[in-house]
Amino acid sequence: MRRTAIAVMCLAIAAPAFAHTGGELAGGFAGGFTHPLLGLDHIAAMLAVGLWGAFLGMPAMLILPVVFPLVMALGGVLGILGIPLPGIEIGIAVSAIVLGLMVALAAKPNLWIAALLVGIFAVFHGHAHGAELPEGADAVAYSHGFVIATGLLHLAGIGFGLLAQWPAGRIAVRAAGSLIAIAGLVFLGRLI
Amino acid sequence: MKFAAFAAAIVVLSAHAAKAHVVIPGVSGFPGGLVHPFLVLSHALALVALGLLAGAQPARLRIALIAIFIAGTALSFGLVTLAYSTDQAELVVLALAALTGLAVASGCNVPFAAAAAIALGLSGAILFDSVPAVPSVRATQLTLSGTTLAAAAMIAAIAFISAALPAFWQRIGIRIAGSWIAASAILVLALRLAKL
Repeated sequence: MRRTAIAVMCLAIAAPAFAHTGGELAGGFAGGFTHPLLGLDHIAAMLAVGLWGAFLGMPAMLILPVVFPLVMALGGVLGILGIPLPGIEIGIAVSAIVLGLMVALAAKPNLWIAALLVGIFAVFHGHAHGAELPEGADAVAYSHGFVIATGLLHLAGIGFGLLAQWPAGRIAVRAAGSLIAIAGLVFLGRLI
Repeated sequence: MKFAAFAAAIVVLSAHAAKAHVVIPGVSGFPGGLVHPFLVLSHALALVALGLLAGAQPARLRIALIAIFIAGTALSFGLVTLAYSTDQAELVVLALAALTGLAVASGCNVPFAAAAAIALGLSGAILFDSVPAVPSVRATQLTLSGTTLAAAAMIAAIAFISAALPAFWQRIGIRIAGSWIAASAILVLALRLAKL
């Protein structure tokens, strides 16, 4: 009885709840999900990661989409903590150029080189996302939304990249890589 | 009497601002507890990650891991009833979600002892973070009962579904899901810690 009374007292003196509502959750997720989809530079680089992964085959097709979000999160932490990173936008544009060229040239370096390259670029993308992460209660939904959108762009790239199994598909995939590299040049030109 | 005084001191020392999640206004008690783990994304992320981790274990250890999680929630249930509380439970949930997601993404064979420690820690963190902000022991007990049931069911469902997936999806899909969970949890954890 005493324990019950004490428990009631404890609950009674608790401060008002910082509530999460369904609306915030939905809004946060939608905001995060659309964030990578509204930036052409992000889309180009994400698709290129998937295309290159598919082009390289297993285990790169598995490793690159796993490495990218994890390193992107570390870049995001830098952005959240306000640690400056020079040339964020340039890095993002260069990522589209380099990754697009890797696909266009059908480059097949060692897996660790490919993972390192993708990881370096992931830091720039993550920093840009992290710096814009909302501070409100819907941060979980927002971050999950943009991680999922990023991952789905990778999967879309992998899906298209699997066409490289056939000769005509290989040409189409390399052409897509060329287009991504050209788009990256345009993004870079706008920044300079 | 001494016990009551001691307990009262603990109550005062450990009482913090309640950070309960009112996911659907008006839905409380047992139904509120049932939907809580599904609609609070940080909890859902952590539970999915633990389910995937359990799914990678052999069948007997998988069941043992789910049982450890349930035992942990029962223990935490008792502590909450004894008026223990914390306002940092969400940080622990996020940290364990990140750790578990990384373990799943790495594809390494996680020792059962480590998986059990994660399950135990997560059960406590989720339960403490699910205490409703209502001054009623009965409502608290009903809510936490619902949360325990839903969380255990979610882990069990994901563990057995992921274990039954074809090898290709176990190699690719589960590891990618783990990396997504870890990335989300790391970002939100950093955001929360930056604001402390």
